[in-house]
Amino acid sequence: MPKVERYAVIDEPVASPWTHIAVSPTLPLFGFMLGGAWLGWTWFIVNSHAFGSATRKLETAVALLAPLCAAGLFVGVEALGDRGVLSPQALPYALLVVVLFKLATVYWLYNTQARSFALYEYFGGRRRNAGFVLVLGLLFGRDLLESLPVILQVVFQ
Amino acid sequence: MDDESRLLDHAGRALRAGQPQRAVQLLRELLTRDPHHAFAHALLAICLHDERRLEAALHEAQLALTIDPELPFAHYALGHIHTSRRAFKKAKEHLDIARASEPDDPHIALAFARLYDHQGKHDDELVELERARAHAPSDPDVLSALGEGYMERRRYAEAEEMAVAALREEPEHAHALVLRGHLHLLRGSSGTARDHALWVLSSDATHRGALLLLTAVKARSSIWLGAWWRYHSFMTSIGEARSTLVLLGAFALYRVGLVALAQQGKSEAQGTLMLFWLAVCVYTWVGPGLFKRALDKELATVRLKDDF
Repeated sequence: MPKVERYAVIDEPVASPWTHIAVSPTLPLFGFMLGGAWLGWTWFIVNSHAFGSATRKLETAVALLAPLCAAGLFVGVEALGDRGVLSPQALPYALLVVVLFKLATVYWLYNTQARSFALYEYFGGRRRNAGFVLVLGLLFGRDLLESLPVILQVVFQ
Repeated sequence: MDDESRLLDHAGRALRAGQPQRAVQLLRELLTRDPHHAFAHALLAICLHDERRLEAALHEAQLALTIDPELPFAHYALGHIHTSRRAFKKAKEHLDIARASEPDDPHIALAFARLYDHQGKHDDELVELERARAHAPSDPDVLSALGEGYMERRRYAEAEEMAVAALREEPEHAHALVLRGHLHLLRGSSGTARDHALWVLSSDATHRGALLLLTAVKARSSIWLGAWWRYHSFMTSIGEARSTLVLLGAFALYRVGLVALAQQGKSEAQGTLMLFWLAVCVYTWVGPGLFKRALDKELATVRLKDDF
């Protein structure tokens, strides 16, 4: 007898072989704050696939495009400073746009992933406690970034 | 009654009993058998809406309308969902279509009332609530919704009257009990308000309104928890996108402050600002945990009824 597929609601997580590394989306959010944007974005991508988030493709696209857009913003603000449109005093304020943009992407990723993760847990999915990644990010994240060119430091910090 | 009708009936009952998760399970079973059941898709949309799964709810309601474009219930569901998404124009369009098919349905009047409430048109909201009552004068759902409308307009005597009328029709009506609890709380009787919340929770341990009432009672007991609760209620009421903007705005102000103080060489003030920001972050992070612990203690005292 052929197996009948259960009716699936579109926002429910799909089966994944990587559920053993699924964590609460709060951890990637903390990863962003403590270790830097590189850790937050990467962890959000891994986590969305680990627990089979219903919006994992969109989340992955946002997390991959975010550094490119942040770099674009940084280059744009620097160019405005070089051409004299922004005074040296105004430049630090304008550069806050890059920080706010990165924060906005992470808030969006967190909110989107949290909805799907709540359903994943409702259906019996387990979460892993990966606090050690945060500790590693806090201890070595900033040091790793310091060896990079300035633009990459601004984007991934 | 065939199996599909039975599943639909049970799902409707589960939803009315405030158990949308159970209703979703039943409707999933029905839709596995018949994926083109328009009414089941629309009912599933309402259940998902009650679980605050708005994108999925919208998808299901649109599926229902694709299968049966004339189904008034699908338009009603879409009106409800668009109201929650704050797409007010679309919500009104769908509710108008639903009303054209079923002009005397009190639930459509309630949906209009909700839409006007979200839009801040409170006079129109009361007109719709009165209209719902005219169509169903003894429906406890309608009476308690009207009572809530009165309470929000600070017409407490009329609100009390509606709550009593609803409880006369159905002595254990959860919404009416919660409404009375809120009225007691407004009069300063925290203990009685708490009893009303626990009464509802003894029949339905997950009743959202009763949990909110209990939370409001707890918020009154401590200034710090109360402040967090008001902050949380505000952020929830403005929606996810706007609350994110508020958070980003607050962060931007903080960073602008830091840059400005650094440029003026006021490093001491900079340190104070950083400490203040840290305190705000810790408070908003720890607040929910403390609140949850206080509520858990209270909920542990609830004795569920034998027929729960």
